[in-house]
Amino acid sequence: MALNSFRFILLLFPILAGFYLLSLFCKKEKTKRNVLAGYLLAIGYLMVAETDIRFLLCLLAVTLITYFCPLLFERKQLGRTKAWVAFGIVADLVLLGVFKYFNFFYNQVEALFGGTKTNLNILLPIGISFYTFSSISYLVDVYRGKYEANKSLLEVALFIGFFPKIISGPIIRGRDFFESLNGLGKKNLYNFSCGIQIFVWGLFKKMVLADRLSVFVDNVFYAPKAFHSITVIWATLSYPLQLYFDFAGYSDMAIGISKLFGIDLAWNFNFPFVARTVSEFWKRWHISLSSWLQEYLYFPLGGNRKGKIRTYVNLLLTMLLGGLWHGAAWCYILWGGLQGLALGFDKMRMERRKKKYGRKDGKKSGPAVAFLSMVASYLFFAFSIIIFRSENIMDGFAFIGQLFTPHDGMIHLYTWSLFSMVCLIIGTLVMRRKTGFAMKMPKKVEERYFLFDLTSILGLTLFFVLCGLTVGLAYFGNTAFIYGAF
Amino acid sequence: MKKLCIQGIKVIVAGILAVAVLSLIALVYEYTGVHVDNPQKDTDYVWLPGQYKANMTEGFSFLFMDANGYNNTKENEEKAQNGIDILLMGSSHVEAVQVASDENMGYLLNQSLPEKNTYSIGMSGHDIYRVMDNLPYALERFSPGEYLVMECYDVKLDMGSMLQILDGSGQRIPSYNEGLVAKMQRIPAVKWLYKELSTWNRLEKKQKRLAGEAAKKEVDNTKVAAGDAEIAIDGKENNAGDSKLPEGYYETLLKFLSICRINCDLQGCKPIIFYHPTGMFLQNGYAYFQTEEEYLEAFKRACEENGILFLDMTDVFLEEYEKNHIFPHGFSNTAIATGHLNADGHRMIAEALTKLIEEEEQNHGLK
Repeated sequence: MALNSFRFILLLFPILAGFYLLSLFCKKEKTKRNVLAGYLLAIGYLMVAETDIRFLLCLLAVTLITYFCPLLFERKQLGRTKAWVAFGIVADLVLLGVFKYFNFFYNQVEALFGGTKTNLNILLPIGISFYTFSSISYLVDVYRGKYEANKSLLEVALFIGFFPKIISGPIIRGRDFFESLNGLGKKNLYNFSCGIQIFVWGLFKKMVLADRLSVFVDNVFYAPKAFHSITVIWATLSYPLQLYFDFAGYSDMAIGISKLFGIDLAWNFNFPFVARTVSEFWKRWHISLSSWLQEYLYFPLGGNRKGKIRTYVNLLLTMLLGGLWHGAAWCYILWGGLQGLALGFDKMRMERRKKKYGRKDGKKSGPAVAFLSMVASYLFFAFSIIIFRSENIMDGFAFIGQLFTPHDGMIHLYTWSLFSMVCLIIGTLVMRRKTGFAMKMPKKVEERYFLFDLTSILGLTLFFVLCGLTVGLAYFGNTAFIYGAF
Repeated sequence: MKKLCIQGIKVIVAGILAVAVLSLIALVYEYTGVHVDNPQKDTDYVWLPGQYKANMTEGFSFLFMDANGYNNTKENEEKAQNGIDILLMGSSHVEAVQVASDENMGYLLNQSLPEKNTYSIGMSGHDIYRVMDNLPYALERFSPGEYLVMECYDVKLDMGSMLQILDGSGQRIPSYNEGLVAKMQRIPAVKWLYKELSTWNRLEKKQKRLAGEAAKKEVDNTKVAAGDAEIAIDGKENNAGDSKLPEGYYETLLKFLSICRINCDLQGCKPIIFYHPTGMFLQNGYAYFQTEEEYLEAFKRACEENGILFLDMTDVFLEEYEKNHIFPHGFSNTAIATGHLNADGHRMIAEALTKLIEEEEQNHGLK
């Protein structure tokens, strides 16, 4: 059940009512925590089972791996052998590999040896890319001694199967999540006030902006030959917006719903389009994935500690695998590779500036240069995700070819793209006053968003107007979350 | 308790204020107004006289309905007071609230055929079945002296619906003239949001149903298989294998269209039906207009047998697409090739109708 579905929104209120009632009746802290965690877990399992009961089996398997392996690792009688952690990680990766990548790699091997394409009918369990990564991060963190393994099966199960973040993340970390469980069932009114607003902002981004953009972008990407070059360029510039609003919208919904229950999830986007370099962009875009890749792949590979060449190789490898995470296709891998190359180029440029000016960011640039850098970063992202968006690499290159060769066709300068850009600019300027685009995220979820004061008439009015605009301007079509497919 | 009551009052006050603000926004973004039962029955319902309409969902337009509740410019309305020569009937495509009032086919026909008075009673939801059902009343009320032009967006008609019209059991589109619903729909925000919420719920149920079905019946622009491109090179679908006419279909269609012939003969005007198919574009850049050939041929024959001039816009649309890359449906704020006729679509239809009428008059020495 998608978070932006009519059915889910209708169900959310009775789910919340049940949660708040339970939190009122449970007096003892520990009992309250367990009952509420159990309640949320049951809701999550029901939602996954409703999609397909087989998906629940996969979720349970990863849950058991995540629970038992760290505990077994920590048992002194077993010698604290890292074999348990390694087993857990391998088991997670095997599950991910079988469900997500088996057909792809099998077909590559077949192609190498001249066979015909065989595709096994393997269903991709919902959210597997996200929760296996959460599991791996937890296993590694316990192994590294960052914190002890959680002895509560219920809490570990909730960490893996918490329903708001199952479909498209964010990829949450163990310690952050278990700490935030302390807020379960507390300050319900305050949490409701913040959570519902964040959720509605997310709905607006997804249903009004992303889904409206999808109507145009999908058409042009489907048949670029039918459109004039100007239209193709306009679609190219619109797609990053669609992707951002879709994914950030989902993240906001997940964060908002979690907040309703008193749980703070990590944020996933920090104004990525104000980034002036590709490096900065990846610190602001899909933060939960990019930080995961940095901590659990780039650093273990050696990071930048093994010389220049090795640093660039590590960057490339990390981003190639990051691309592969998105899907089992060469276009994702190529896209990841492009990002890796760009990051390497960025690193080289920063080294040179450090040598020249004695600091990585070089001379402080004026507003004009800063603006041009943002535009350049946006354009790089826009062009690189053409490959990401295309059905295959050849289609991607054909599309890029359309951009650079004048081509007659339908002129369609979609007005919702302009509206989305205006919304993005206004939102960015408003939030600039609040957060100053700081790289370090405020710990409290509510500090990352523009929220109304729901105890005042003005705040309530503005919030109701936002709800009305979200429903009134929304596009209702076949619009699954883009990242739900990963 | 006191705090709760105060907060409750604040919520109510804020709700009222929000409805006011949203109503102002609705008056600019999407306001269709209120329609009432039409006692004269030339259409099932009419808009209130002078009804204001705003549309930014499909195209951009801001209109006022005329004194009869139809979409005609003041110029057209005044001309029509001297007698109507050409009466336009049809659905929301003819009602044309998606385009400016000087861009719809009614206005353009008045410009291209200035010696004739054209008047449009196009109304949302009035498909060919509703048009046929209301036709006798429309002719009686407006007495077009020369032509009755009817719109048809699908030549594959439903036998059940045709039979209902033939036996007089066709259902009129209801209006809500009285009661709470009538009052509520006058609040722009309420009407707007109610419509959106019902659409959301309805589409979600439909998507769930379709997802559960083995074969997807809807035509989806983004999912035309590569194989279809091969047969669509000339822009027309030919599914001869799939579209055998059901038994009794042609006879029913003949009878159905004879409603038009009989009533127009009584009135002394010539009937015209124009057909504007839905199009789509393919990955190879070609356009593709969906019409099942057998049904199209049957419709053409039935029109001919009933003395109805039939205007198939497919070739005109194709030619325009090939020359100028213009589709007759779709707007800058919607997907191309979907939804209602845009300004170019109205222009093409008006030009084609003008040409047809001029040729007809030349053939009959009327000019």
